[in-house]
Amino acid sequence: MRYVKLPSENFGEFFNFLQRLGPTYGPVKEGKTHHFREVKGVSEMDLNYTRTMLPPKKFFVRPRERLFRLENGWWKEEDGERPFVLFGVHACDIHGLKILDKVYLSDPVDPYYSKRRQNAFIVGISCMPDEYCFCKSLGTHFAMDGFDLFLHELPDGWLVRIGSVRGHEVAWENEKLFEEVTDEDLRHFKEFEEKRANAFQKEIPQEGLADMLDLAYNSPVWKDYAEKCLACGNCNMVCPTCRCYEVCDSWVDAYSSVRERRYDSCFMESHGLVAGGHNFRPTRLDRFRHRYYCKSYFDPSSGFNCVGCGRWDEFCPAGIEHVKVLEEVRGSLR
Amino acid sequence: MTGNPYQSHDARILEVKDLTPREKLFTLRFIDPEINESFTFKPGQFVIVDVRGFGEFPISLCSSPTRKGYIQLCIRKVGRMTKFVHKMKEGDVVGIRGPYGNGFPMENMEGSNLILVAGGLGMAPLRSVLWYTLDTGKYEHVWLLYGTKAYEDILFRDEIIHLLKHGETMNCTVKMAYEIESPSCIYLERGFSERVCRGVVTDLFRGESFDIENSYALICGPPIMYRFVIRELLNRKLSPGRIYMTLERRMRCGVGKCGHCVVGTSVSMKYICRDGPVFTYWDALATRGLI
Amino acid sequence: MTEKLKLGVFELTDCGGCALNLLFLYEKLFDLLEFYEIEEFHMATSLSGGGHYDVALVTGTVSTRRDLDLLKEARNRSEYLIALGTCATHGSVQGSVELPIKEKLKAVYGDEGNPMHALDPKPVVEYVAVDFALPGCPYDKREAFQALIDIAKGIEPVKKDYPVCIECKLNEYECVLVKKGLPCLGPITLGGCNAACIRSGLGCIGCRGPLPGEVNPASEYEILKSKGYDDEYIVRKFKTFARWEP
Repeated sequence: MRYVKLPSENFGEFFNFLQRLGPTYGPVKEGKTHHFREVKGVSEMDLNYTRTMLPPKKFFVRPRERLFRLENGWWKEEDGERPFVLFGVHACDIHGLKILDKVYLSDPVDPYYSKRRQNAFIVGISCMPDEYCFCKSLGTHFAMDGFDLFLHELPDGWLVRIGSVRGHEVAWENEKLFEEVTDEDLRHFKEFEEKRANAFQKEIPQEGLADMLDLAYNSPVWKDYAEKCLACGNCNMVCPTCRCYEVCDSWVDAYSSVRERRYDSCFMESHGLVAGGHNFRPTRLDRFRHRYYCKSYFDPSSGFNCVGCGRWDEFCPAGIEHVKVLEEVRGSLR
Repeated sequence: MTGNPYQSHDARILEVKDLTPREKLFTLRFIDPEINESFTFKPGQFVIVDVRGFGEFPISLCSSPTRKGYIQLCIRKVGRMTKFVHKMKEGDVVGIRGPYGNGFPMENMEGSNLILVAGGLGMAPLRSVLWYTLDTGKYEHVWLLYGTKAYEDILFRDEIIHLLKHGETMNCTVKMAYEIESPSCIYLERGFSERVCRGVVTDLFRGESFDIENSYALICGPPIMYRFVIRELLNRKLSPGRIYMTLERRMRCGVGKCGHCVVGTSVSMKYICRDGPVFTYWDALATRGLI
Repeated sequence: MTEKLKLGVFELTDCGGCALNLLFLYEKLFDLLEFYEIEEFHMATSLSGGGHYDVALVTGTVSTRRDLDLLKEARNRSEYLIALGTCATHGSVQGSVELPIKEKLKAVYGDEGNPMHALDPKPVVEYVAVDFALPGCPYDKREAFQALIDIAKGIEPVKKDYPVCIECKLNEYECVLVKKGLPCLGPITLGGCNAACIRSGLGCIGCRGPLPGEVNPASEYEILKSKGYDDEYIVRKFKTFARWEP
């Protein structure tokens, strides 16, 4: 990997350059919540954010999107995808995208997702955990790939890791903005990472977790929490690795129609319902457990389906805490 | 298939035939002759029917890949989409995409006995298997054990009765169980007392001896049926790896993306549409919730 | 084009908003008119069919004898009847007042005389079988448009099956329940409104009625209590629109 330093005074110019690559989206604070929004200048962003409400998956699988429009009885694909910059993505969310990649880029490739993935220039940024974060215990607190550039905060600028050829090209073209990394910068980088590592308040012990959960299928803990759960689907909507979608055709006028998809939630009763009325996950308990199992599914090649972003805990109206549920389920087995 | 996997191909309805009051058999042909020529599949696979502007639904193929140039779908009038499709007529056009899923491993089973166990609408995918075995002649002996509610509900009735009469000449034994008595059923039972009875599908195992070492079972039916049939087969010492079942779930995309058909837990997760819909009993033991 | 379907719009006791909302479809009305002929709709035509309707839309609650007669008329003369708006589907605010009609008359007018033949306000679904129920105060006009086109094309309309929270998140509105502590019924209320109230920074008032199926009002109740709302307030909030569930 190539490392360079972006001094604070060059940050604005660097950002201005990125804007030439395409519309740039960064974390913006609205009310008490952060969202990725299109930004025209550095000052519009709040780079000290912890998490956005919707994760950056919204740029690749949109909350609602048109797949086709009907023309003379044929589906025409919606087009008009353009390059864009995603600025200030945290490591957990980069890992989230890698998990989505495994689904959407596996054969047959989802053309909508894949086009946007190719069009995206991703700039990662370092962060400090809050009380909800548990990415470190899942190993998703540091991104080794999945970005073009990754900025690590230094007292007087940013240590930049270059993660792709396009990242190299951008650094190359803007050589005058970057400096060599000094020993002092390295020391600061290390200090930051140490401070960060010690700041985590939550963790999921991974050892044997997948098996423990499977064995605890009948644990009363599931039931207790399922009674608390509203089954409102908020956790699915904000999750960087939830990927269920629903497809619906709708009429735009008397004779033309569009096919749209939107995020779906496994908490909906219709999620496991087949025509004829049989429901494979008939109770809230079934659906609650299913979601935990899906998030805690351990894929030997990519790990868990959860990146520890803490969105669930922050946005669950019932205040259900992911780590706590898993710990209690595991505890109920001990 | 290249390009957009969610795009369907135009297929014209050649024939619509009433099978029962609830089920119709649709025979379709792709309008593009190249697709019509190249489209092939394995028994047990399914397609997504796309009525553009209205919606999509998955349905298993019930014709056999040995018969080229058309496909057949047995559609039960049960949901919003299927009710709509039941109103369609010969000459109408729908979109078809697929085939999807793994299908039955027909080649691995060549030279063996096949025990097909069908309940209700489960007859549809197994009809594909049945035709395939009869057309290829590569299988030792084929049993079809078919459980149905009433005489009116017998799918592919003409074919089934034909095989009841003449199946043995094709190394094929058809047995049928019905639940609701009617004159027609009694008439059938009189004609084939050995092979037609009132009861459930597991009753059809009675008095039958299979060369179990050289047999595979292929099961399709309502969710409740699997456990009973599997117990019967295990009692007869059929290896779990030789028990194949095809499962139903809410398959939306057909290609392992949309998440509706996912089953399992933290140690084993399966997409029915991509990893199935055909699974062995080993899979069922490894994946909670599969059956 | 084959013969157009005959459409009737019938108003029982309501604010008029649900009938007006159809006119707010503006240019989309012309798309509907590709398939429908309006035979009865006092806001839009002086015609009064009195014949057969392929589709009848009924808004409002049954609050008088006249309403009940009109509803029965609409039901008897139509193939497909849609209860349109929360008054028709759940009783809405009118249906939420619990006293029997006689006591209400007495409380307001001082005697039990009932010259208007008022009844206890109840939703349409309490009196007749409906083919489709589309709640909302008012209902979402795009949903009504989809339903009417679907029916015209010969397919069942799609019922919404998710809570308000889903659309709220799809639209990226800040959660007023979690972030502002507002009394929001979004998690237990049927969606389809595109989270209009939350868009304006308000909590969901539950106007589309509870999400059918295994909804969890008990947990919502606990959440609101923990945010400092008292019993009476919460119960009243729950009952405002949906005292009568379909």
